[in-house]
Amino acid sequence: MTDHLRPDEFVDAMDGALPPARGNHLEHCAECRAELDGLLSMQREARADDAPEPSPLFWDHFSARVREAAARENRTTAPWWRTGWQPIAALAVAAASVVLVLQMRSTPAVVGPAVAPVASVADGSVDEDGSWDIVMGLASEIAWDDIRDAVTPAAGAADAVIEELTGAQREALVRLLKQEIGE
Amino acid sequence: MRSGVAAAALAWTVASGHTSSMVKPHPTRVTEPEIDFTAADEATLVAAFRAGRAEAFDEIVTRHRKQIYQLCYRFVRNHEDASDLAQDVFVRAFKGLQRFKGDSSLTTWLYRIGVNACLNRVAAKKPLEAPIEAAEHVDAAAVDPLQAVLQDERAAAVREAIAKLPPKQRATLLLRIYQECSHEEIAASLGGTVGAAKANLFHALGNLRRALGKT
Repeated sequence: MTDHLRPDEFVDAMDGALPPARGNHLEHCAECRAELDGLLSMQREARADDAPEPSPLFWDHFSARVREAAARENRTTAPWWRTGWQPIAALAVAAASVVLVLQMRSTPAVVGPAVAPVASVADGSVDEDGSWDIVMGLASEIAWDDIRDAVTPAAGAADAVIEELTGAQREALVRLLKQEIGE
Repeated sequence: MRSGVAAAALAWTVASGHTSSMVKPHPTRVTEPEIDFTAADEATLVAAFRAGRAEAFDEIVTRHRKQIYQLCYRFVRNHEDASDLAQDVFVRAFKGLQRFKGDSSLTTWLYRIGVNACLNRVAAKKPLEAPIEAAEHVDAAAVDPLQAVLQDERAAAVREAIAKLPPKQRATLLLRIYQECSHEEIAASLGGTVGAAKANLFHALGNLRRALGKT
């Protein structure tokens, strides 16, 4: 009777899956039976301790939290060419603005009568123009994200529009584009 | 000038009465197939997620959130931490699902992430000695108050003893007793053989008995 059950065999016995030969040992070994009874008793006692159940509302809230956290994670781990375009675009806009202002200041004589109001802006009367303050005030309240959302087309939007054109419309578009690039 | 072209094209489109409702879908255009995610199996959900369908991941969360929360609760023994940990588990799953090979079930894979997250958390943060939630409300009208207090004390002692088990024994016990995982699932979740998982359970229960003075 020294061939007592091994640890994994005790677990099999708890599950009722002990092979018959080993079951025979268990039947005749008081030591193994006592050990098994102790294990079963401990398992019952541990199992009786229920974890509290959160409210159903918690689960909806939880799913929303996971969704937000995953989206945040997705943004922070996106490659540079997907996230890096924002500062690059901001720099490009700033550079273009500087170039435009310098150009306007250096070429007032070239500007024809049709753009005379622009020349008056460039020749130093900006500070005296109250409407410019209004424009600057409004511009300062616009968030970059809003601008981005406004000017960035949805992915595939251009393809979708082109796909919806009729043959004649596509031909007209091609003609316009060719005119534009000077072909 | 290019914006002029765009504006012209737009004006021309509007003037010609061209609206999307009047246009037939392009024959080569591929639309996303309609999938009832609530009825989809795991492989379909994983494939849909990899194809960029976020709803598939929502469904995975819905199916497994309770199990993962319960597992986390058993480790940290308070709602706030369990909730944060469970969220962390799903964010890790979100990041790792592209690499999920399907060698084990999604449940087992999530448990593996959960156990690792929980063990890291409890190693970094000492659990409360007597968590507030362990002192459950005693309904004096329903049971003998003294008996209820004794039961609560005993339950708290069991939780305390489980918290002091070695990490693998603790994880094995929690997965087996409370999550009702098979020994094969436990072995896959924790790494190791089925025999080792059974031995861990045996030693975990034995250590609990000793800690609670039952031997």
